[in-house]
Parts: sequence; structure tokens; C-alpha cells
Amino acid sequence: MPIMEGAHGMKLGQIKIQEMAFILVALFIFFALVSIIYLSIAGSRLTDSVENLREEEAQAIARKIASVPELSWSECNGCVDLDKAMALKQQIRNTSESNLWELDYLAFEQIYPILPEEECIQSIYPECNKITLIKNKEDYGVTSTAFVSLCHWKSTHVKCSLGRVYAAGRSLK
Amino acid sequence: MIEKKGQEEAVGFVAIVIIVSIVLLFILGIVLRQESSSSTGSLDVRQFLESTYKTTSECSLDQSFSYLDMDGLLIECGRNSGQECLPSGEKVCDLFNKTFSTMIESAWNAGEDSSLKGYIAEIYYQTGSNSSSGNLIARFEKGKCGGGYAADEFIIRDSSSRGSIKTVLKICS
Repeated sequence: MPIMEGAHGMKLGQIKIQEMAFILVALFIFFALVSIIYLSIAGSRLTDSVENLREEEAQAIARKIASVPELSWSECNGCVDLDKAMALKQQIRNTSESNLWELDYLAFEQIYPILPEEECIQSIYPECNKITLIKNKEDYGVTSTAFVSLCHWKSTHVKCSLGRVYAAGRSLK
Repeated sequence: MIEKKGQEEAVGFVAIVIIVSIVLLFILGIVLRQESSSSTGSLDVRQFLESTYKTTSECSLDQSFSYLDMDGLLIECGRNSGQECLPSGEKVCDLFNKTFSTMIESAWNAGEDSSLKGYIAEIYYQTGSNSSSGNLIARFEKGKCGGGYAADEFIIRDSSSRGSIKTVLKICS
């Protein structure tokens, strides 16, 4: 009898140990799954942050291009001199300069006040809304864009408008 | 007895796993919703506001027709809302409101059929010693804002009153 009881007790103990082992394994697998799901979500959020940072960096570079001495309006930061831009456009056309600032595409577009949607040439300037300075190839890829002020002289007064600069090229990647 | 006890323990374990899973999913849902509803400062929005306030308005306060910039127009609206603009005769605040909302519409094109679903722009006046958000003096709203958005603010200093005007723009996607 005591042997039987002892044997019965050992079996019970073994069963208990096995139960505990299965529970521990199941808990481990459960928390491992939870960690994998959390890490994959956190990783995708990190990817979004990196993309946002890259986009902001490209925007900052696009705006910096608008601040070069050949294009900037001296009296304010982030302002483009449209008269200079028109002169530079003519110069680029005359000299066939193709590698300016290592850009494949550079253009300014006026958003407000709303003007006729036409490419600016000397005969219609400033009653036009777009000045394309550089367009080295048809497929210039995705453009970086930033808001800028577009300024020019209107008789004796300065007139600034809301516009965008569009740029694409190796220096923006 | 032993088998019944084992079954009870197994059922209890499964119940605990299910309850913990539900709680974790609930917490995950809350965390993810908070992440998608928030956004850090947006360079694009800030550049838009900066360029908008540098734009020349159609308002002059004297016969010399030196037109105010949008920031100057807003400050005049705060100082004397009854003042009239030349040559249109419109009140300064009416012209500012009309121009500002038109500029947002032209630049962002928010609407039901667009990827940008709406916007909210709020303008606050802050006194020099007021470190809180200030008094709301104008609000522009269109469409629906819920979920992701890009937002930033721009501050104009009013040197005469030692106060400042803060514009907060939220573009919703």
C-alpha cells in the first residue's frame, strides 16, 4: 500500500511538472509572438519617420536652391527674384548650360495671385505663372518642391507672390 | 479527480491567455490610434505660412499705393478693423480673410475628392507676457479633420503693441 501510494504520488508529481513545463513553453511562445508583432509595427513607424525626414531634407534643399545669389531677392530670406530668374533663363538658353547646380529640372510656379497658366517668355512676362529654368531631360524623375515668395518690381513698387519651386536632380537624392 | 483537476487547470490557463490577449490588443489599438493622429511640425506648412505672409496684398492705406504685405495687413486688421483699403474700399479684415482663405485653397486644394481632406487655420493674438496660446481672433476651416495631419505655426511680431500673432495651420489627410 505505501509503495502504491508512493508510486501514485511520484506520478502525480511528474504530471504536475509536465503541466508546468507546457505552461512555461506556451507562455514563452505567446510573449514571443507579441514581441514580434510589436517590433514589426515599430519598425514600420521608423520607416515612415525616415521617409518624412528624407522628404523634409529634399524640401530644404529645394528652398536653398531658390536662395542662391543668382536667384535670390536680397531683401528677404526664401524670396526669389523673378526678374533675375527670367534673365538667367535667357542666359541658360543662349549658352546651353546644361549642368547648372547638377539639376535636371528647375522651375518656379506662381500660386497666388492666380495668373494665366503659361510658360513665361519675355513678351508676356510677368503675366504668366511658370518659369522653367532647367529641363535637361523629359524624364527627370520625382521633383522636390517647397513654397517660396516670388518677387519682382512693378513700376516703383515691389510685388511678392506665393509660389513654389520645383527641383529634380542628383544633388537632391 | 486528478483528470478533472488537470482539465480545470487547462481551461483556466486558456482563459488567462485569452484575457491577456484581449487586453494587449486593446492597448495596441489605443497606441496605434494615437500615433496616426499626431504629427510633428511640418516644414511644408511652415514655409507656406512664411511665404504667405510675405505676399503683397491688394491693400494700400495711403494714396502712394505702397501695398501692405499680408503680415502688415493682419496687424492693421488687429489695430483698426474699420480701416478701409485703397483702391478697393474694402475693410482691412475682410480683405485679409478673403485673401488668406483663397491662398490656402489655391496652395493645398483640400476637399472630398482630394488626398487632403480639409484644413483648419487659427490665428491667435498673444500679448508680450502671455505665454499661453493667446486669444483666438480668426478661424478658417474646410472639410473634415480626423486622423493624420501636417501642422505647424508661424509667429508675427507686432513691434508697436509688443504682442505677437500666431498662426496655426493644420492640413488634414
